[in-house]
Amino acid sequence: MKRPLIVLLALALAPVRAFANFIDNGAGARAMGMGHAYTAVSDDINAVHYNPAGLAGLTRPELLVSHSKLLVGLQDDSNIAANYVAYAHPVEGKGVFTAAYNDTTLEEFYRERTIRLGYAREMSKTLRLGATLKILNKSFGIGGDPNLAVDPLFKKQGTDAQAMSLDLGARWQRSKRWSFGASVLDANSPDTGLGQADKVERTLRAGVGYHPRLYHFGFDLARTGSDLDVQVGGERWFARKTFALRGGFGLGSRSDRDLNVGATYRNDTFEVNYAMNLPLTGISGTSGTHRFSFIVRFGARAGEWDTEWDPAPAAAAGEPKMDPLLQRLEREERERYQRKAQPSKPAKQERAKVYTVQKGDNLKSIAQKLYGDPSKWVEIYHANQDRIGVGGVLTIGQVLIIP
Amino acid sequence: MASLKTSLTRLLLVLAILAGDEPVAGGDLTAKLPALRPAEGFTQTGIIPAKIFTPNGDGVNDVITLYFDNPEDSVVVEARVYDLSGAFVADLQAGSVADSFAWDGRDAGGRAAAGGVYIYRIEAENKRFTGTVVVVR
Repeated sequence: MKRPLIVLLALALAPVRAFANFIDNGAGARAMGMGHAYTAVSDDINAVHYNPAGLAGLTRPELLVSHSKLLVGLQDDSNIAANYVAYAHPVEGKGVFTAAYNDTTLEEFYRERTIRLGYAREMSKTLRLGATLKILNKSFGIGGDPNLAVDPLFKKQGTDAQAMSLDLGARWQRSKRWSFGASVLDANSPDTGLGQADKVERTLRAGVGYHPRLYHFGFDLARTGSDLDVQVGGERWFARKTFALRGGFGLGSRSDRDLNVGATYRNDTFEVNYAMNLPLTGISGTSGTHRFSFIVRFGARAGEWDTEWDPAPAAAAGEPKMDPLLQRLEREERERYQRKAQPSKPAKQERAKVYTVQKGDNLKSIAQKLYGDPSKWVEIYHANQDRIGVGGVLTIGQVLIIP
Repeated sequence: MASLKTSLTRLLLVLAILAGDEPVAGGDLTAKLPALRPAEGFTQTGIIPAKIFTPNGDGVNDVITLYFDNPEDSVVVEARVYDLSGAFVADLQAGSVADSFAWDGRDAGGRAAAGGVYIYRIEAENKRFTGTVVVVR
């Protein structure tokens, strides 16, 4: 584990020219609302832009559509707009396949487009890896000015440039609460120049995610060329995890700072997000960047705790007094988790009275299966209170007493 | 009490104007409106070439120039280029004619800035002029 870290560190410290080619403005509004601190959080399709490894955790297909207006209110009425469409498709036992398209345009003057094809996979219960191949294209609209039409550069090279690029990522779920992520974006520093070299600088991202109940926090370091950005963000879910508010802050080594806020409404299938980003330095005075994004999730939700929200309604009543107990449960759960869940086999004569948790189960689905009534999950919960985590978290292979 | 009365009078006046009536008694209000000014003070008049320039040293479109009208010779307090994240890139230099500002596509350290969209910001007379330029490499 140590050698890759040293390599990453060496890459991060290598001196290269400043300023980012290709506008890096993220994918959906959830990640943006968290200040782009998403390398370790990466638990939904937004990961496609920050850490391809995060996609390996998806249990059902997700489609993201996003539209943004950048730096609204520039006095020359510039209209900078960005679109993002991404689709991730998990195939049972084979990993997650991704395709995405995004463009950023400055009216008819300038357009950047990226096509992404990606693959991500769970290497173990805790480790995910991913890679994305990118085709970058930029084009210039020079029709508006005769000065540009006679420019030898455009006469010789045309108005389009293309390059291939590669993103790599890893994500490690240390426990239910802690995740770590690292990614190398544009690992090959592709040259998108028309006449001269114009490299997209390699970006190295490293992040820590902290995920206590109802919260997600991200802390990222992003190094592009000689720039270093610190990104911090968090979100809180409300109303049985249908509604979220979030915020984030970015601090760059060229003393640029920005503030992000956002909100989400979601149900089992749809998610609607809004976020805004406000630069606090330099170009302050615009009304910032605004983004709407939609996510559609196809098929039935599987009850994996680490990929989506907690599978069962929280046992809120028992929560306040449970702190020491909670800690013990967490600890036990982590130990069990790291032992890769050895299933303890139920004794034969007890078969009718116990149930072994299988992949995709949650308390409600078990109650439905055994009693034909999902609301009876409460009884199962009470009979097994000492071995079920707060929030009804179950482990595959865990044996439950069925009252 | 006097101020309350003034406020009320003003409120009535505003209501009257909103209702489409000509203010009759409030001569002081119309007097505050400036007479038609010949020029609007510091204003942007142009940008050449149009947004896009190619700083490659071939003598064609190597510099982008922003032109301004500055009838009162006001002090320009800021003339800078930023990238889209709001980070400072370079100061604009004086252009070849008066009241013009030019950028040669280099950052403050003299290194060639990467291709892409940049934001200029020029401020004088408490007026800000912001907009986009595109560097082609």
